Amino acid sequence: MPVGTLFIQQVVAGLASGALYALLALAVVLVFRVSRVANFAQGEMAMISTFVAYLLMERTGMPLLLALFGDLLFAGVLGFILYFAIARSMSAGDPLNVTISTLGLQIALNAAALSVWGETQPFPFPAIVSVSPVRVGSFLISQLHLAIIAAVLLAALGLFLFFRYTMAGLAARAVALDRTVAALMGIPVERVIAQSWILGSVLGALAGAMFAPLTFLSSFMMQGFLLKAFSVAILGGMTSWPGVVVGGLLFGVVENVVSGYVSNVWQPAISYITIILVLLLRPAGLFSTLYRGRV
Amino acid sequence: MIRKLALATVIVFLAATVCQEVTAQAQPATATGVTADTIVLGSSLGLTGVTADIIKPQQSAIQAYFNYVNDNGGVHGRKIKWIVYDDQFVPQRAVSNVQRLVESDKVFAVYYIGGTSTTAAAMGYIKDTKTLLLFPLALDESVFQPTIPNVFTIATPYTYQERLLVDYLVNTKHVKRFAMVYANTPGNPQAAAAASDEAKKLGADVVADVSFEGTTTDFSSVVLQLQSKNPEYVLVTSVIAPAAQLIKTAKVMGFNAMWAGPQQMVDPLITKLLGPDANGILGVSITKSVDESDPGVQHYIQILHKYFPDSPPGLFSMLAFATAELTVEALNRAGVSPTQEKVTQVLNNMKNFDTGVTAPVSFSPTNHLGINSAIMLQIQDGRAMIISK
Repeated sequence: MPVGTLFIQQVVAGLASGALYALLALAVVLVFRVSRVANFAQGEMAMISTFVAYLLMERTGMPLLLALFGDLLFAGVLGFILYFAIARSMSAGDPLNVTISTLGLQIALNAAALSVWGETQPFPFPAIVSVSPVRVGSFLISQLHLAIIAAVLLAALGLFLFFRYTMAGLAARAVALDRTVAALMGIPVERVIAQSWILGSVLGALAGAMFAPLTFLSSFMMQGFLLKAFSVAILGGMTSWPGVVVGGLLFGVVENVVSGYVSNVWQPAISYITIILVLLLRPAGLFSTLYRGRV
Repeated sequence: MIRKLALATVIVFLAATVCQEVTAQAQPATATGVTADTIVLGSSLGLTGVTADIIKPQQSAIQAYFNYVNDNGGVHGRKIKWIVYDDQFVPQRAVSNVQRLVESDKVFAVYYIGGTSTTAAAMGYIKDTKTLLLFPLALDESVFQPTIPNVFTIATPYTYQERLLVDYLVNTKHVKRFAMVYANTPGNPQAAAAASDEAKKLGADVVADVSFEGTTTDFSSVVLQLQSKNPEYVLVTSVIAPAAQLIKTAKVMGFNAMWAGPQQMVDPLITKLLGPDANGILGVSITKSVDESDPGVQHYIQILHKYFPDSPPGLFSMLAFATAELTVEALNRAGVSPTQEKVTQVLNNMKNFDTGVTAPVSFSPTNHLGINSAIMLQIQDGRAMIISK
């Protein structure tokens, strides 16, 4: 393989894996942006939802697309339940309390999945599109990778339009800015935050269904991704949709190029050092602005 | 008078000897971990954490065999009690678990630590305390090289397995270009290095040597590194899920290599995960194939499914089952009053013991690796078939 083609191939593969990180990061950012809670259980919620899709296919013989619809529906219900069971009861206090409780939730969900499927996992999971590669110019890209990139772009665009142009989005932005003032303006704060948890859970489930064909379905499938998703979210500024997408793609490309041309051993370290360097130059993230005012 | 005195002395001596023997027969054994009705063994396994999905079937296989033995009268009337602590595959936890088993639970022997790095971490304590360690799943030479008097294993290390694999590929399939890819965890780099050395010794080229971290979520870069060197065979040394993920990613990226590796590469789980993409994968195994109609294999599946109907048969599960069989056999041969010394002696003298699921097992005082041979398996139509012994 010529050197130039290999480099482009590394970049393209990096974009595909970066899109995966960005998809989960969008879910993280959505919940954080509205409720100020960093939901560390986001990955495990996605994993449980993906198991539901698998069960629907295996136990009922449901076709993949229908099972995925069931998966997203379940994810919405799961997000709703977990919001009311955990986040709502603590929402009067510091969001940090809820953030810490999501760490416990992550462990509990993982333990539950392990106790149910531990001995028989991992499982193969079908892809929504063919995994066969297609040739684009001089390089190859998998149809699944193309679908993932398309999914993340569509999700980011959808969120951008929702927050910018809908009343519900406007309400969510108001809640994100100041809950007390939003409540005084008549905005149902709890409902808005619950919506963000539901939508975040659905986005996470979508990410899970996209990951599973490549990583296989197991209780551990999201653990490696979650840290990267959070890193990407921070790189993007924790509130910016384009920032998350660009941050994710950048992170994926850096990972692959470092892996290909420096060392696989140093890849994680160099990838995270890159994030630190970016944040030193742009402390609020790639696409967010740090506001400073005199006091 | 002197004759009477001598006669009396002999009678007293004989009576004392007989009494001692009778007392020894009647009294419950006093060796640590042995009571009148139980023999206590203890393990440290990664029941949760990254290796849980591999370890759980092994735990079931062992427990199934111990249940089978206990239901059939136990070992000289004693039931086997097996204590298992979770180490989450964290070496430090394995050390504290082993310490707890020995010092608090007073086990007869530490049996089956479930991993190379966890066993390596506990070896210092095992050596210092001269604790009997039976059949850890440590695929590393340091467990038996040099021979440690109180440690026995049947887990032929990856280094041996991969040398055999390279020999087979070069001599039978005339492979000239190898690529090595391995997870950067204890034992794997050494195995890949052994395979590389063997390939070079036999005149073949090693065109790529690629490692990846245990945290790797995306294998596309690894695949590209391999693809750019155009190897004939890629030798993979890692646990099953990342190996399957690597092969799946290669398929997604249009890299159609021939894959080979140690035992786990031909485990039924690989076939389950990869489906038809698993066909053609070669692996060297110290157990028989689960797809065989061999009576020993069928006996294993029958016992496993009697007690754990949902536990999937697999090569590591079968290896774990064999270690349970060996442990019970050693305890049986040690007699009604087993001690650690007697079990050590019994194992040192064990020759060609047939577990039914592995090659015959032999030990000697200078060789504590019980299996020195392997079979070559290839996945064909979703089944691991023997292609060479």
